[in-house]
Amino acid sequence: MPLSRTRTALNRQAIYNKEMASGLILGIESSCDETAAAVVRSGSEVLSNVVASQIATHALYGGVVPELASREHLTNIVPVVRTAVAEAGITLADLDAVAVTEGPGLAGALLVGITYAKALAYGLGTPLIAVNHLEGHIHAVLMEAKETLSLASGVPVLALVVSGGHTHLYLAEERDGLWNYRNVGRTIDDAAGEAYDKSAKLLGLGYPGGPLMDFLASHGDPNAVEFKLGGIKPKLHRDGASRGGEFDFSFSGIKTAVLRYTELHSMRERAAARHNALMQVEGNRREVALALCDRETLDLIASFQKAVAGYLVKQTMRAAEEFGAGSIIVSGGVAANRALRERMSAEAATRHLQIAFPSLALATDNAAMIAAAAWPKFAAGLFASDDLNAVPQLRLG
Amino acid sequence: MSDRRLLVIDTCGLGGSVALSSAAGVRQIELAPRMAASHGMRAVRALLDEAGFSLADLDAIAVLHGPGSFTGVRVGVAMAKGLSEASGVGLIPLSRLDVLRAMQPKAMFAVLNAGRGEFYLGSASEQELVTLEEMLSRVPAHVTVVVCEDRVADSLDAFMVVRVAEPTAKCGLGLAIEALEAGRLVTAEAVDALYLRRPDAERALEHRG
Repeated sequence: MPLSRTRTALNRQAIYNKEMASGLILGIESSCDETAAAVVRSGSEVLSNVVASQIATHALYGGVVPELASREHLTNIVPVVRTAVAEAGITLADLDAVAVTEGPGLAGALLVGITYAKALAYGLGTPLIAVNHLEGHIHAVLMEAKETLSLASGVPVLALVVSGGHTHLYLAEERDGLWNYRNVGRTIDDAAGEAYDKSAKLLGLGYPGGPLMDFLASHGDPNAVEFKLGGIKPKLHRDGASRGGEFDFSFSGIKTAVLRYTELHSMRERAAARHNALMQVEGNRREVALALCDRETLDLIASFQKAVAGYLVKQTMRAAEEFGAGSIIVSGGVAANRALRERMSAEAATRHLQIAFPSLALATDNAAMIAAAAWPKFAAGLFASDDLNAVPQLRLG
Repeated sequence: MSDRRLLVIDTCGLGGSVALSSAAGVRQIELAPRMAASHGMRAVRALLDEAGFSLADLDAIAVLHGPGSFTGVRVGVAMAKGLSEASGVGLIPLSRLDVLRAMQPKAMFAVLNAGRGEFYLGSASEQELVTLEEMLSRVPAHVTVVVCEDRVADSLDAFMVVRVAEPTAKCGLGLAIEALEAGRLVTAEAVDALYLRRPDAERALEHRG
């Protein structure tokens, strides 16, 4: 690919000669159901962070519909980027680079952001930077917590990225200005957020169920139902390597346990009635949902929340100890969960570990984290070529 | 030959193509099947580099915005939007059905394969997704219908069918120049994909509800 190689060389030259670099990076994110754009200066100062959420569209279907997501991204991408640039008080010509999520995510959805970013970067004559969505989530916290976390060299950070699509543990370390990652744990089935969404659906709470479950959990008895999580048996893979490592997660069991509980306690009809009532509600559904939940349901939710948060905390702390992490960062949509924040913080304090969470706006999918993660790559001249394509199963570390 | 400078993007089909028209003539780069997403941008760069002018020197960017492969259509439209936003050059969305119809001056209708036994049917007044039965009721027997796919030609033996090659980007030049001369340029925000087919999930939801 001679063309792209030339391009990369030219870009590096341009940057090195650029004494008055603005440090402004436009981030674009379209990996799932949020069309997002943001302008971040030098990887830390968020000048704008715009997210066009498609939740209302997908809620009707009880989950993200890939074709609908892709269509909405195409419709939203121009106004979202325009708004991000305008809110940052800059023009496109001020940008030093365009960064975009290359994966993991939905192929069709990713492609809209990637293709748009490629064309925009080409037209502006700026470099294009490809960012792993999971690395973005880690930088969502790093960009805010750099000051508070004292990051000593040689002491790794343990990052728990936990959302509707991911549950991963990474060891992250900065070397020569660039961040390196090692994946030390992952879910072998559902993501934690997925377990929340699926359980919420079983209880007639609609999609997405996580935030609503979190709210309702504080109104129930967390010790009412005992859920057991974990206990993954390492399975020998065909190649002899064992699947299911020590710090892996499994959430399919608790989802089944919730299903069994609702069946045993004849909760299905109540859930259906609750679902129908909630579908009529526009805007904030919290108080209505609370009124629609009986004691048994609230206790089940509180117990579920306790079990999931406890499991995430336990695995994370075990990994932190094993790998000698000095600090823990928690990111992704589930990082907004109150029980997880409280229990993780308390446990970290006991163990004298530093801990950081993203602010609410940076916990769920956003583009500021993409622009922030792109900054070290920009400084190192790590640019993507014209041929950048979506990598739906992209891994980190 | 027009001396207006036009870029035309078509990634609606299995492959795709990008064409550049200027006083020097028309140059087109064809993209291998399923490679539009990864090689489309490289082709645009190559055409402009070869012609020796920049994006901002263009008079317009035309894009075939459907109907066709959903992902292919989105790649072309997203690319056109990005190029337009970066350069301020106006866009001309072209229907692939209109482009196909323009390839055969006598044709009143153009038909493309929509898969699943359905067709995209286009005339000067309407573009829609139809079944074979619906098409038979909409298209008068004596008019010329232009097609570019075997499957469609085989299904339409009741009509006066003219078979042409599958349209590429340069086939849209005539319509694009016409739109440019008439000042029918739009901004990136105003262009969306011309799917004609609704998402399956939407249809299923309606069916259930």
